[in-house]
Amino acid sequence: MVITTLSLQNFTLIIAGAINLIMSILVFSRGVKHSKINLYFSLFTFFGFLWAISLLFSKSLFFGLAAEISYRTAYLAAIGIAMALFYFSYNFPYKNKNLNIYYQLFIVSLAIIISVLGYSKVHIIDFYNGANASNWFVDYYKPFYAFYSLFFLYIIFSGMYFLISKLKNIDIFLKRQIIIFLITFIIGLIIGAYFNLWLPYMENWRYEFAGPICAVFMNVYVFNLIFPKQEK
Amino acid sequence: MAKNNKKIFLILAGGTGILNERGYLLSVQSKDDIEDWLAQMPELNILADIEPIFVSGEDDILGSDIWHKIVAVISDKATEADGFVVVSKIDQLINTSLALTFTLQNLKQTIVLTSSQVSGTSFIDKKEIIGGLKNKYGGLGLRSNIINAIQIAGQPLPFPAIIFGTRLIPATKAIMDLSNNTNIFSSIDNDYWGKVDFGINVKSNLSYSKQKTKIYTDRLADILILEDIPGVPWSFDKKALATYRGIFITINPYQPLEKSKQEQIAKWKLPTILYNYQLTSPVKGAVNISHCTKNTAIIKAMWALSSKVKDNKFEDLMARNILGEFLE
Repeated sequence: MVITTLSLQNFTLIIAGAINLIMSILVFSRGVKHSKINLYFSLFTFFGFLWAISLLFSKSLFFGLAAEISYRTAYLAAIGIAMALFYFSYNFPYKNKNLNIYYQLFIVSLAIIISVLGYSKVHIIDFYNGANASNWFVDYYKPFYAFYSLFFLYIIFSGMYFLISKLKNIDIFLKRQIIIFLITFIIGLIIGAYFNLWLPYMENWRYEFAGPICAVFMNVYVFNLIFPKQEK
Repeated sequence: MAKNNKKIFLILAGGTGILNERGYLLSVQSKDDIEDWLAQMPELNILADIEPIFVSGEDDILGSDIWHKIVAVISDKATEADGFVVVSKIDQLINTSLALTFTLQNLKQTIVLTSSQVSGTSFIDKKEIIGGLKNKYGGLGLRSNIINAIQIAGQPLPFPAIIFGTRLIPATKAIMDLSNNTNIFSSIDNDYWGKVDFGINVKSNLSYSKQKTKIYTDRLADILILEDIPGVPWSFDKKALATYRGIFITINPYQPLEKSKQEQIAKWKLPTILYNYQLTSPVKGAVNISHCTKNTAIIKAMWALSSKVKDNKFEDLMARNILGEFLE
């Protein structure tokens, strides 16, 4: 059997989307009313699902305008992932500082504006999705793309800073949790930033399917935390 | 402090041992120690609006008198509070939680109890234990325990519970489990109200009583606690029992109490409780109790014999499943 690049992409995106969706439902069902950790991780995995599915639709199921909207949605989902991780890291395992309300308003407003602009010509000037990856072409407005990337990385690095700042003066049990989470965070960041930010900027869309799978590392770790023992 | 933070009273009654950055043992022996002690955990005031209340020092004997003070503080502050975190000595944490459970029934505010792994201000006798805990866990566990307790205290719970390590255990089910350093307490039926795994997760299907709040402000009654060994006589007379309001005897499940001991119980004319977790053989003049933890049975008896409750028939109170303390 010959597996084409496209079908491997589809398969990877379906798996990544399914894992994220299952984890999103699983964590959400544990209760979000009193647990911001559950809320933001559930949002993170939901946006991970949206990212994978919108890439899948743009690459194989849709053509023309539908594919373009779907592809633009992947950028919205990525901002959603970054914001959910930012707030997750702020609250995990507990808050150790208070964020200024005006700073939070600024960050959230900027995220919304960037996401909305992602559906305009300010982001993507021209879009063509061919039958295979080599025929793909997306004409980005480069200054906005650079701004989008910087904002994305700023949010992600802020989240990492929250986690690192909690490592001092913390019991070993929690320190271990944070360190493992940081490792999965960094792996995800490297894979996601390289294959889904840098390579598309360099006009290479062949490996975009690799990004959504990066969230799976975090999911595996969280799954292991949630179901470690057989206590009722 | 963040806006809309919940108001949590942090009641200190021993069990406050924490290691500072230099590895020195700090604890709250008097009100004056609270500021330095709280400075070791700056996160607490970010998580909630914390108000510490000193009840007793690290080296004070923890028993009915201190439980009485804790009950007074909680009933006094209940209208202002979203919840209470009681830090108390690890070796009395179960009894303290049960004392609050029976004296503060159906309180709307959550009460969570926790402790450091060690109690007492003297360092030399605990040097090895503290060193071992520091190497293995990086501290005495109190920082994590209080952080978890404060987060839980802002959520509803049916009645007081213990949070220690990764387990949230209802007071009536808590037992000591010395085989595990992280989780020194476990639940007698392995059923927990919550876990600390990926954050704190309190079960959403807990059942809550709709009955009115009942606060019993009287000091719990003193009772004599005995462990019966068949064939070993009870060699004390009625005079020795004068200071007690009742007698609690743990007996064996599968052999009846000797005739001589049954006669002694009849002569004492004091409320007597015969306890075994599995089953007990009936004895005239005594109340038999089983299917609850030993600590629950003891503290329930102390509560049932305290002066404000004594108008009720003691036997009926002991038999009634007041807070779900009898396990199926």
